[in-house]
This record gives sequence, C-alpha cells and structure tokens, in this order.
Amino acid sequence: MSLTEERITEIKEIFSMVDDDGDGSITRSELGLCLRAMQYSISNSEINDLMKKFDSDRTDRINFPQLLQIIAATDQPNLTKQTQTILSALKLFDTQNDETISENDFRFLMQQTGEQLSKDSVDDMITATDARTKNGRIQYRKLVSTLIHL
Amino acid sequence: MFSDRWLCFCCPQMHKPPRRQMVAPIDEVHAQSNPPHLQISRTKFQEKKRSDLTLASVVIIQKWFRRRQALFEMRRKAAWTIYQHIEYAGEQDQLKLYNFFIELIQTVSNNRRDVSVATKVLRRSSSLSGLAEELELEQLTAASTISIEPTYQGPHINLPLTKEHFEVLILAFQRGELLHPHYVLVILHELRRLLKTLPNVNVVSTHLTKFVTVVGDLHGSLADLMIIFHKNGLPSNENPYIFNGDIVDRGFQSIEIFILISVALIVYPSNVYLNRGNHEDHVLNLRYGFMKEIIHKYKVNSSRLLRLFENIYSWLPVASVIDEHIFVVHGGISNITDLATINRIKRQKYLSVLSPTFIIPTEEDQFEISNIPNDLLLEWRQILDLLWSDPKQTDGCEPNTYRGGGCYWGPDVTRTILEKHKWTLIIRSHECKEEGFDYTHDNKVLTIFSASNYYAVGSNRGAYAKVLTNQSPLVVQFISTKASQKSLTLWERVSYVEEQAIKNLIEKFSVNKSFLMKEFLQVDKKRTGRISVNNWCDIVSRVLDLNLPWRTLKAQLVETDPQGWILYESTFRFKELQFALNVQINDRRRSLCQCMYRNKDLLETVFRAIDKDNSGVISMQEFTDVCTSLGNHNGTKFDEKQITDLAVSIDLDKNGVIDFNEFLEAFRIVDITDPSMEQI
Repeated sequence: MSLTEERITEIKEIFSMVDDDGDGSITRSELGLCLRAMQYSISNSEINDLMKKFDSDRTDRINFPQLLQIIAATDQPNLTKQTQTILSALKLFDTQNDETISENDFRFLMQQTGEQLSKDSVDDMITATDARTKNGRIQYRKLVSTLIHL
Repeated sequence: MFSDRWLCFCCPQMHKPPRRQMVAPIDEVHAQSNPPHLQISRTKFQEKKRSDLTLASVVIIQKWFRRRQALFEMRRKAAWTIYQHIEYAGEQDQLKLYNFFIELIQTVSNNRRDVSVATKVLRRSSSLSGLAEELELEQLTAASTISIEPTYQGPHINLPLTKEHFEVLILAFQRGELLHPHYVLVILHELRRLLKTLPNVNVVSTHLTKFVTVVGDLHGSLADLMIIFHKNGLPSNENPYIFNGDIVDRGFQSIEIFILISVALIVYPSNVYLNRGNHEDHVLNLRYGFMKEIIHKYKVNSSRLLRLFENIYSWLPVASVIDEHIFVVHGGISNITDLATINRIKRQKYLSVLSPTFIIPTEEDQFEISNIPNDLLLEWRQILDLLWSDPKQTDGCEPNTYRGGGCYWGPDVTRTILEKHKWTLIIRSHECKEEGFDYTHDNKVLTIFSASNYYAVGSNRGAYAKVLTNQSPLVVQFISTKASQKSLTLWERVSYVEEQAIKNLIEKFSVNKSFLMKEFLQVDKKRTGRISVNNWCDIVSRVLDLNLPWRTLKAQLVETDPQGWILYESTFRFKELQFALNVQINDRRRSLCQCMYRNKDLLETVFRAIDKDNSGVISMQEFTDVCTSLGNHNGTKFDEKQITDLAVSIDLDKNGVIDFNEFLEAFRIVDITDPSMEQI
C-alpha cells in the first residue's frame, strides 16, 4: 500500500506530537500511541511483533522512515468480522439470554485475561458506552458497537 | 499522561485461558450419553475452542479500547500544544513590543509621534534619581497616606509581624477578605527594608533544617498555595521555603499570595526566600492581570500600591543556591551565566527587566538616548537570561537578541555552567508542565510548576520539590479541585480541556476572517468552496502565526466533504466579531474593528502603560497616537481618521479623553449560533 503525500504529512504531524523530546525517534509504547491514533486497533503483542520486524537498527526505537514502512505494511482490521467474533464469544456468557453479561464476568475477562486493562480503564469503558443495565449487567452488543465508533 | 489511568505497556501479560468454571460448559450435560473416552476428548476440544474464542474476543475489545484511549491522548496533546503556543506567543509579543519601543527611541526617528508614544510608555513614573527618588517613593507610598476607616472589618496587623499575624491573614484570605491598603503598605515597606539587605543570590543551607522546599510558579492561585501549606506545613524556622518567582499575574489572588509570602519572609527571614520571576515586572503586570487586580481591589489607592510594587520587584534577589551545589532560578541559564558577575550587579537598576532604567529618558523632551555600552548590555543579558530562558533538547544557546527574551539553552550549556560553578542541579520554573514537574538535560535540570489547572480545569497537576541534604529532590504532585466537581472520566476531562482550547482557536479564526478568506479565495479561484487539507493547514498556520498540529485539529474546526476536501467557509461558522455599542458597521469599519480586536492585548498594554495615574482614561490624541504607532510596530494599518471617527461615533470621546476600558470592552466575540444573541 503506497502512501499519498498528504497521508505522509498527516503521519508526520502525529509523529512530531508524540516525539516529545524532538530527537526523531519514538519508543515502543509511543509507537502504539501513534498507530492507534491513526485508527489502527492493534494489540500489544502485535506491536511487539512490529518492533521486532521493523526496528532494523536495533535501537529499540522507531524513526520516521521506519514508521512509514510499518504503516505501509499494516492493514486496517476487518471490523465486521471482529464484531462477529466478539458477539459469538460473549454469547456463551449470556446466561439470561438477553445479550448481557454479568459485570463480574466482564471485569474478570477485561482485567484478568488477555492484555489486561486496569480497573479504572474498565470503569471508563462501561461508563462511556453507557452499557450498564439497571440490574448491574453489561449489554455487550451496545458496549461493542459504541466502542467501535469514535 | 495522567499515569494512573494507563496500563503500563511495557509488561503486557498473557494469561493462560481460564479454568473450566469460567467458561460455562453448556453442552456437558448432553455429552453424558456418549462413550466415556470419546466424551472427554470432545468436551476438552470444544472447551479449548471456546477458550480460544473467548480470549481472542477479549483481546479485540482491549485493542479497541486502547485505540480509543490513544485518540484521546492525542487530542489532549493537541489541546496542550494550543495552550502553550498561545501563551508563549503572548509573551513573545510583549517582548517584541518593548524591543520595538526601545529601538524606536534609540534611532533617530522622523516620526515624532511614534517616538513620543514610546517615550511615554517607557518613561518611569519618577524622573528623579538616587536619594531624591527614594524620598519621593517613601512620601508617595507611606502607609500614613491612607487612614483606616472605622467601618473596616478585615484583619488588622501591626509591627513587629508574628506567626499569629500570618495565620490570621491566611484565614482572612481564605474567607475572601481584603487586607486594608494601609496594612498592605506597612507590609510592603517592611518587606522592602528587608530585601535591600539581601544579596543578589540567596545563600541557602539545609545544614540545620535538613531540607528546604522549592515552590514554582503560583500565578495568583491561592488554592494551590493552600494545598502546598496543607501538605507540606506552613513556613517556619524548621520548615524553610524558596518561592521561585511568578507569584503574580493571571490568577485572581496574586496580591493575597504576595502578602502571605512577604509576611512569611518578614517573620522568618532566615528561612523563607523569594526569587524574582519574569512576571515580577510592572511591564508584564500591565498585560497579564496583576495591575487589573490591584485596580479592581484597591481603586483609588492602586497607583500607590503599584508604584511600590514596581520598586520592590527590583529588590528581589534573582536566584538562590542551596548547599553550594543546587542553583535555583526562575527561568534558567545561558552560555554567559556567571555567579561572580551576577553578584556584582546592582540589581535595583532593573525596575523592569524589559526596560531597565538606563534605557529610559528622564527628561520630558529627551527623545533619543545614546548608545548603551557593551558591558551594560551584557549585564542586562545576564539578568534577562536568568528570568526568561527555557531549556531546549539540542546543544547550543540561541538568544533572540541582547534585548530579546532570554535564551534557549541546550544540554551542553548545562554541563558547562554546572561544572564551572561546581553545581549538580538546576531547579527552575517558568514553564507549565502537565505533571507539575519535568526533568531534562540528563536529569540535571528540574522544572517545578506549582499552579495546577493552569490552562483549564484538569489541564495539569502542580508540584513542589523537597530538597534534602545530599539527596535527590523529592517531588510532590497535587491538583486543586473544587468540592463540587464530581470525578470525571478520562473522556470528560479531555473534552473539557480541549473545548476551551478549541474555543480560543475559533475566536482567532473569526478575528482574522478577512485575511483568511483572502488567502482561501486565492487558492480556490474557481469558487468551489473547497480547498485541500494541505492548503488549509498551510494558510491557517501562516495567517495565525501558530505552528499547531492542524491536521489533527481540523476535525474539530472545519467541515470536510465526502472526498476529504475542506469546506473553508465552515472555518467561521461559530463565532463572529461584533461591536457591542450602537454603531453602524460598514465594511471598512468592520476590518478596522477586526484589526483592533486582533491587537486588543497590545493596545490594552500600551494604554495602561501611558495611563500613569491608572485612571482608565487617556487623551484622545494619545489614543490615536497609540493606535497608529502600533500599526508601524506590527505592520497593521490603522487609519487615523477612521479611528477618530469610530471613537467619536461611539461617543466615547468625552471632552477629549477616552475611557479605554470601555472602548476595549466594546469589542466582543459572540456566538452566532446562539439564538439568544442579538445580531447587530
């Protein structure tokens, strides 16, 4: 995927904002910030893979040309497919058959499994997507479809 | 980043799929009917598939969440950049203005009018010198010139000041009471007497107390000072403090804080230290609010108070050294910083660091001044650099000019100057930092900023540093929150801070409408109403003279069509500059009004500077002089006749004088989408 000049300028702007000390390179976590700010939803392990692959000079940092390479090589995810995966997985927890999952179960999943989130983050997620029902369960379809839109 | 809300990225953990009971084996009941060995392996297989699926989904949700967090982080960064740029642009403006005036009276200028404005602005209130001036100052600002009326309900103080007075004042100020101007003068005179005995650089030792606390910019925020005293204790002989400048301006309780710190210094002179900041300068007080605060609170007595403040600033020490190895200064250093040289300077010459006394003409008709000798210029630069400099990441030292705004100094300069003086650390303030503090230059420079919520509620924490004997400083962070504020989510907090910043930008657009439209139309010759993102960003950046991340911001500022082109007219969709009084605005006047509004801050500063008795009123002639001469300063054209016309037509011209406050308040930015706002 080749990048237009305009896209490159856009990426440069984001890179400059993230590169706080102005030395032309960003750290692993800043790489995550950059990519996610450009609408890529990638996991931490995917970022690690990218670092391994593109940090050719082994500085543990990414400079701007390397970032462009990464973007050229990365595809946008298939959101529809991902939504389907989530909905069918969470269906297993839908013990009341109303497309809700208990808050405890949800928190356990988010905070203790996968690439764990903090309690505060999960608080934010639930509040911002307004997914909590009156009896303290989480409407996961609502959560998922709100979260996917920015 | 507000670190308590972010998961540490560097140690992502992958956990094993959870145990059986977590994934409800719905089918297990039905599996009973099959032969046992087949039954077990099929269940296990199904379960693993389900676990894998669950895990995959969990990671997807977490990915999406992190993406959203990142987007908010970028928005927060962008808002921060906006605030910083605007703040520094403002201060640069001020410096440029004064440079302009100084150059004006140095060169042989044909334009008498311009020079007369410059002279009026720069001239000190007193044309006397030495002993005569000292006597005049004491006479003018003696506490005895103000009597205390029997109806006064506020706190009373008397000399000698004690710890009890300090505590009484804290309580009174927390209740919102005002200290009687008579007492303010008493305290200020006592402070001045003490300051005159101090060296240029405070010598601070932690030998007896084992530590000293350094507080950064407070900018009139009493709430933050109260938090610091609450967390760290009141100043005392066992609890020493260094206040690193910028006590006043911007916030609304500058005088209260200044009084409290003064009293602390007077009661504990060996354990409370004050360094001068760039805002301890009457030239900046003109623009950044302290003058307004005094005029508002003390009315007829404000001139007296301001005159005394102007003098007291010049007696403030310019830096401190802790235990001979930690240099504490408000701004920073430069390649010429030299302690011995600094100690030899007569600091009281620098009433204002931007226009020191040797610049200013003393005689009414003396418009030109002779050249300033080089060693005097270098001396001036020493002081300017201490109060105005900022660190930069790359090596080198970049001054603006000798009379510019200090330097940007690099890590190599830090190393050199530290080595020269056998210092190990520089503690400075001057720059707002999100976490309230920031280490740079290989941890040899520590910035401490103590005014939380500086740009907007939630924009940043404040911090102070406890310097312990022979240890690294301990930094303590805090943020002041109103009791009524409920706990906001990350999203709400970012949105609020960003909203204020964006509002500011939208205002700027509306004020620069004619310039912007002109450029837009030049690019869009076919009048399609659309231009490319690059063009829009480029034009906006140039016209506003603000180097901001426009591509990231554009979503909040303009509309785009489905192909990604920018509909530039939407740049002006929310706000419009209105002239609030009953006046006919034709096209020519509209552009004059825009011009005036753009330069509102500058105009205000100069009006105030000329208005020596703080009456709020200057002559019509002075008014037009200022407007036209400012045009020469920044290239905007104020047509003199138009200005006079405008002033006359709004009937602000009363007997040849103009109330400039009224005039400036006549310009407003109104929200044209708000149906309740009346269109003129």
